[in-house]
Amino acid sequence: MRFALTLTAVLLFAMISCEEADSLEAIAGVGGTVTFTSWSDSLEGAVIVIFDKNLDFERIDEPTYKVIDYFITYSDPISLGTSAVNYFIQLEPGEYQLMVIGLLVDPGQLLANEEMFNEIQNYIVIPENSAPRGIVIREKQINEQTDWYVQF
Amino acid sequence: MKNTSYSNVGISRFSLIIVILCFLLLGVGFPQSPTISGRVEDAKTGAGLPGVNIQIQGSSFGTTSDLDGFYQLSGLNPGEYTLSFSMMGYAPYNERNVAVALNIPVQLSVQLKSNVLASPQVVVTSSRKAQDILESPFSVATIGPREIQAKAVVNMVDILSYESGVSTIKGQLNIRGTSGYTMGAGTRSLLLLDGIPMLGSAAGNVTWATIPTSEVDRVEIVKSGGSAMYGSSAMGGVVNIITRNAPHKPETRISTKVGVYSHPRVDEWRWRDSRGLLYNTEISHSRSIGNHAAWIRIQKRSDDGFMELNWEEALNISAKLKLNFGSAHSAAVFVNVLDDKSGLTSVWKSSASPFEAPDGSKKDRTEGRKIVLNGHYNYVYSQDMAIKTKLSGYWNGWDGYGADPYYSRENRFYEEVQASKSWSSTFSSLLGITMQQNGVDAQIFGDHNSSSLASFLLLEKKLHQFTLSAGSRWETYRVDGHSQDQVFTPQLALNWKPTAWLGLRISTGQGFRVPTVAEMFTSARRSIFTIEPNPDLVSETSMNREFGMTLLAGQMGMLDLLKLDAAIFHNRFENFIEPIPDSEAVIHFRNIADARIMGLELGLGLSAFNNLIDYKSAFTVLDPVETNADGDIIDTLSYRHRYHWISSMGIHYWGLDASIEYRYLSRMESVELFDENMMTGADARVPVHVWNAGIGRWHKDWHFVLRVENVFQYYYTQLERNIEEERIMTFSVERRF
Repeated sequence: MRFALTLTAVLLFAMISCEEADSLEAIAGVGGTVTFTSWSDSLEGAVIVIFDKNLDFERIDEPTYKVIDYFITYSDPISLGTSAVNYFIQLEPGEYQLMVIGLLVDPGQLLANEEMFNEIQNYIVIPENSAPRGIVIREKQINEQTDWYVQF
Repeated sequence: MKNTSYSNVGISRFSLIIVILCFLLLGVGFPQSPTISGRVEDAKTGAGLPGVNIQIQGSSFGTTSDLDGFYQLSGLNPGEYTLSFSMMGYAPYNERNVAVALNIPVQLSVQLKSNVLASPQVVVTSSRKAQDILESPFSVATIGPREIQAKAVVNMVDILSYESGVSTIKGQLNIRGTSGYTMGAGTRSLLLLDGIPMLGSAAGNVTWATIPTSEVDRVEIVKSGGSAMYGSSAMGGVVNIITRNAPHKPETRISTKVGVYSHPRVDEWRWRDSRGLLYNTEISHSRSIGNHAAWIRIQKRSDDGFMELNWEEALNISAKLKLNFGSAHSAAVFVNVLDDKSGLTSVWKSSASPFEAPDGSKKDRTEGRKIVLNGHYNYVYSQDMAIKTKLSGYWNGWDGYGADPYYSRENRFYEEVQASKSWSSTFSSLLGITMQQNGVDAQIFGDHNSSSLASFLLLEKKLHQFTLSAGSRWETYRVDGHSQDQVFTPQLALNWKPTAWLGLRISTGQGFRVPTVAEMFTSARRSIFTIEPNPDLVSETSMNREFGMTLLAGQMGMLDLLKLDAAIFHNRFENFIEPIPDSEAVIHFRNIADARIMGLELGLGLSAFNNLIDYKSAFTVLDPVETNADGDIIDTLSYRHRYHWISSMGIHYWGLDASIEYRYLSRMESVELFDENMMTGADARVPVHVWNAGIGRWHKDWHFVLRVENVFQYYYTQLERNIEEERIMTFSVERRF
């Protein structure tokens, strides 16, 4: 019986001595609802974008200002004419700027094409009534952004 | 949307007539052909042994004992025979000079002794005939009825995931990394049910729910290219699920399984107030009637699912009739009718709510009916020659409801004739012809049809301890009436069995796969990606090489049984078909230049201390890469795990059977749609570590099994933005009458 217990222990050890488990866990990010009060016919869609906290919003229209250098990530694309959308964007803890931008080209095409994406300022429209929102993301917490109305 | 009802498919009535005819045939008085029947028992305990292979030497006759150890061989010619009884862990036993005559059934019960030096295991898939596993030209893994019963699984895919080198993504089979994930539009692993192809006609996908798991006798997994014997889709391997024949004595089984899903371990992910439940109830009855035998099974399943839109409801009726006509004729008919409804989602809501479905798709679901009708007819022309005929029909109709309604109607017909001949005690041949016709009318594919015609030949010569086999297959494919391809695929294999406990094998062969209708004609949208047709796809081809060995030994000190498996394999593909997104977010199935998958597989199985402990472990390492025409590596193939380790241990003591299982898959190195965002942590990919545990006990005619799957609630994704299995605790009770 001692042999059996020893063998059992050895085999159990062999089974659990693999690399440390790395399960998916609770994540941090920003989420909420955006309501679109109007859409411009020139748009193909919209997307919620996260920029670095150091993006100078006043210079976003300057052709030489590299907006892409401050780009962090974006939400799933929002179809033209959508009245309201629930969104969530996963982020590491830190400070960011959050904004909605209208897209002059198909969202899928822009987001999948690296060359176009690097010149993103050429394909976006800034909402008339919505300035970037500064947000702080904390460990394993969702920053809820509500009462967000956007007009294109 | 096309308004085609299921009844318009026109097969329900047809299949019903076939079933009724078969039942009527049971009542017809056929001449009583010679039969041999009896029970195989453990010499020590007297318990019936299930899954014992019983073969008549030098002929095509053979069968397997049922769960109680009973067997029956019928359709014999009068004469004298030698019967071989073999089973893993027991000494082989030969009964010589068994005389049979017309109208005089022979009763022959035998006892097998455990703890042996060597014992063969018989497989039927790798060479399309019964064969000692040590003489198989390719790597073959087997799953027996005890293992299936011990896990009390409802879906076969739950068992296959714990076999060496086998993984599944969303139900798609992946043997040694050949398939990856093709968005359900094609597979390189062929699924057979009793030797008949079971892949869908449009996408080559598998509907696992049509497999009557509780009626499965055994599963054989051939892990090397099987194109030369089985054609397209078998280039990565073959899984053959073999259903049981009805046992000798009448038997009724009633079983129920109740499962409770856990709430997510991460509180923020909780998405429902009460825990999800699973119910599965089955009633089956089997009996022999004269020379014939039949079983019928009714299954009702209701599953809330571990995540939103993972729910499923199904009613499944299946039946198998084994008919013995006269002295040399036998036939079998298998019918399966599945009505199911299920939720449908392609991605999660978000990484903050991974168990929820996206807004706007909460009511997405499908409803469908699938019918499988398989028929076998075997004619033993002489002791040296047998002819097998297989016919199959498959109909699948389903509708999708919700935000984006759609429909699909598909059918498949398969015909096969195979003749085997033993020219001498050392030389045999096998010749066959197969035909298949597929039709599909679906919103995302359009209306298409395809057909194939193939012939195959296998020659086998034994020279002392060596077995040399040479096979080839010629096949022609047509799609929408136009010739798609003509392929010739040869294979050559050499097996060396120097001792009764060791087999070494080396093989090489070509493989091929024609693109499926889904790969050529799908037009759909998935997340931000659009899938567009590519009718210019051409067939992919492969060159497979394998060297392997199997060692089976027993009675070595404290060890009752030891099994070692090792294999080195190298598969090179040309015109490999993969779904590739371009810079416009459009996915086409394309012939990428070339690909290569090579690897190593090591397996260990042992039983010790008078079967007190058993242990199984297998490790597979893959190197799956895309290459250019010169063989230079371009990229890692997506949706493949480089390392794969499965391990299980069972303890059998005090009437209890306790087991734990572990499955490890290394982190996927490459995916196609959403790559990991290193700045935000989004779409993170992690390795897979899943633990299961179970305990079961037989008490008279009752069988109880308590199991927990994913014990530690480990969360991972394989396909992007799709979380996998939540912990579920199940309790199964079965009563046999």
